[in-house]
Parts: sequence; structure tokens; C-alpha cells
Amino acid sequence: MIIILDTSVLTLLVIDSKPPKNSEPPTNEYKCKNWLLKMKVRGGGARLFVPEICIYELFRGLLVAAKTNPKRSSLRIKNLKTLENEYIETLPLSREVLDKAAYLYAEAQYQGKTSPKGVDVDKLVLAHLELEKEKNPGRKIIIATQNIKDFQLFNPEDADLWENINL
Amino acid sequence: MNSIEFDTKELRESLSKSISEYSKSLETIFAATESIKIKDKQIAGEYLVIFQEGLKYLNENKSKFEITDFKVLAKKIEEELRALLDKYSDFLTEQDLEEINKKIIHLNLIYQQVESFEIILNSTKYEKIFDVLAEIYRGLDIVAQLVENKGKQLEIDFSYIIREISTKILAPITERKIINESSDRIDKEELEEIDRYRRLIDRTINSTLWYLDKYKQEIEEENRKKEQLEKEEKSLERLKAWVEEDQLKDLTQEDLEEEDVLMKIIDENRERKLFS
Repeated sequence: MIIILDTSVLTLLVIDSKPPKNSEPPTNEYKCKNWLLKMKVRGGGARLFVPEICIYELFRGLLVAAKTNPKRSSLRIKNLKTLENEYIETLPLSREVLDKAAYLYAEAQYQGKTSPKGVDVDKLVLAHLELEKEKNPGRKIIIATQNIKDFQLFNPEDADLWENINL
Repeated sequence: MNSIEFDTKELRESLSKSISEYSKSLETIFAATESIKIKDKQIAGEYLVIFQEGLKYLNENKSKFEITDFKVLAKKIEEELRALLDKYSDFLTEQDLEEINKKIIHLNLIYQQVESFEIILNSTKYEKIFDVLAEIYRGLDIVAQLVENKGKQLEIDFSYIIREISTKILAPITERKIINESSDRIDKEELEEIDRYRRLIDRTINSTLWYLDKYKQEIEEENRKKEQLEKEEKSLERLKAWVEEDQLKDLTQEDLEEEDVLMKIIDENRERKLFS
């Protein structure tokens, strides 16, 4: 299985967390990190991708937030680097991806679906999904997100809440 | 008897060339065997060392080579095998012990053959032929056993190579006593037969090398997978430790009370106004 993480899931993964104590309910961040652990099982598991545009989106947020709380942002930037270096693969923002995203944007317009003006990050993530489908025919590829609607423009099976995705 | 006057010089040169080639091939086989590291295969490794020592000794002493040296070497191998048997007797199964005993008996046979060669050698000029045939015989026999041992472990069937070596190639060579004991004449058919055996030996060496290479690749692939799994295992352990780490411990109360600007920014991004 190939899972493409969007910015919302990546954010949950970098946010500082701690394991729950006693009967304390686990935080969403902690649950999401545990989910990542489940996806990376021994001897294979899922391949986890993050589009570079999502890393950009999160990283600039972390830098802005650093002005208010530098310690917390620095910890989260460190978490982002740990994820990038060890547990996720990145999908570069290439010309091919931009072209595919442009087609998807136009298609949504033809179908009367509204899209934000300017650069549409969701379409770029969807473009990565489409390209991965072309590269890996027959393989299950899905976007893990917290905002399903953003990615179900063309096919409801393209995305799901991260916690619903299992191997 | 349909025999021809044999050109001694030519035969010696031809055989000398072949000997050198076989010797090289054997060394290659052993180099390949040596590079295959197998747990609990120390015994096989020690056979190899013994053979290599022997081969080195033979090569170094080619010019002054005497049959007595060869006998000493054969005796040394036998002694080493017995020492090995003693050393590993606590760890070996009944079947292993039986196998090793067979090897010792086999070495004794070779030793006896060497002795019988000596009788022939005394009456011929072609001692080197027998030296080398015996060397090849002994070498291939040990190679075959090594291969067989390894083959068993990996469930690869090498038995046909061993059968080929022991029955089709080597036994006839020694049994037929290539050289006519009483003269310098060699039967033309026998010469052809020598050539045939030589080709068979070449083929066997090549197929042994091929199997060893294939086997080596399998071992390498197995090791690669094992390393990959170990790497994954360590990576997962680190991930688990990272997940279970209390990341808030390094933050002060003040840090924790501060508004989480990142969440606000990300929430704003949900509207997807990026770059607009």
C-alpha cells in the first residue's frame, strides 16, 4: 500500500506529544504517531509519502510560529526532520506534477466544483496521487488526511481519515 | 597392442600446462568457497585451510617434489582430520562422525594409491602426472565434500557433482593407471581417454564453480535480506521510542501556556489561500 500524507496529518505527526498517563485519553497527536508505527511494520508495511509542497506548507508555519514560541517550534522542526530522514519519503514538486494539477484544477472547474484561487495545494496532492497510480498500477494508493472532502472531488476512494487506514 | 611411440617432452609440456590450469581452477574454487561464510561450518573451513596449505606446499616445492613429500602431506591431512574429529566430537551427530570417518578411510585409500603410484613412478618418467592426478583427486574430493556439506544446509543438491567427480572422472583415471608401467609407450586410445577425462574434469570444475557462484549469490541475497530486516527492526525500535517519548518534558510551563500559533496557521491553511 502507498499512503500519501497531507499537511494536516504531517502536522499531527510533528506536534509535540507524550504518552497518556493512567486513564488519561491519548491525544490525537499521540494516536497519529502510533498509527504511523503500525503502518511501518517489520518486513515491509506501507510506503509513506509526503508531497514536498506539504512540507513547505508546514515548515513555513513552523517558522512563523517560532516567533511566538521558539522552543516549541524548534522541537517540531526537529520532529519534521526525523520523519523526513527516517520514516517518510518525499514527493518532489516537478513540472509533471504541476501539469497534472493544472488538468485536475480545470476538470474541477468544468464540473462546477469550486477551487481556491492561486496555487491549489489539494490539487497538487491529488496530482501526486494520480501520478503514483500511473506508476503503480493495481497497487492501493490513498491520501491520508483529516479533511476527506478536499480530496474526494473525483473519486471517494482517493482519500480517507488517517485513523481509518489499515494495512 | 596398438601403441605409439610417445613424445615425452610434448606430453610433459601438455600435462604441465593442464596441471597449472587445474591448479588455478582449484584455487579459484577454494577462493569462492572461502568467501562463503557459513555459521557452524568451521569444520568445512578447516578442511579448506588444510587443503590450501597442502596446495601451497605442493606448488612451492614443485621442482624438488618427491613422492615421499606427498605421502607426508597425505598423512598430515589424515592426522588433521582425526584432530578435527576429536575437537568436534562433542558437537557432532552420529551421522557427522560417520561421515568424517568415511573421509579418513577415503584419505587412507588415497594414501594407499599414492604408495601404489610410487611403484609405478619408480619405473616411469612421468611422476608429475600422478602427483597432479592425485592432487586433483584429493582436491576435488575435498571440494565435493565441502560443497555437499554446504548444499545440505541450503537444501541444494550437489550430489551429482560428487558422483561425477568420484565415479566418472577420478576413479577411472587412477584405476586405469594411464601409463604403461613397463615402458614409455602410451596407447593411443588411452591418450584420447586422458583427454576425455581432462575435459570432464574441466567441465566438472566449471560446473562446481558455477554452483559455488550461484550459492554465493544466494548467501549474499540472504545476508542482504537479513541486514535489511535488522535495519528495519532498529528503525522501528527508534520510531517506537520516539512515539513513546515525552516530548513536552523539555518545554516550560510558559511555553505550554503560549497560544499554539502553528495550529492557527494550519487551520487557516484549510481555506487554501496559499499564494493567493
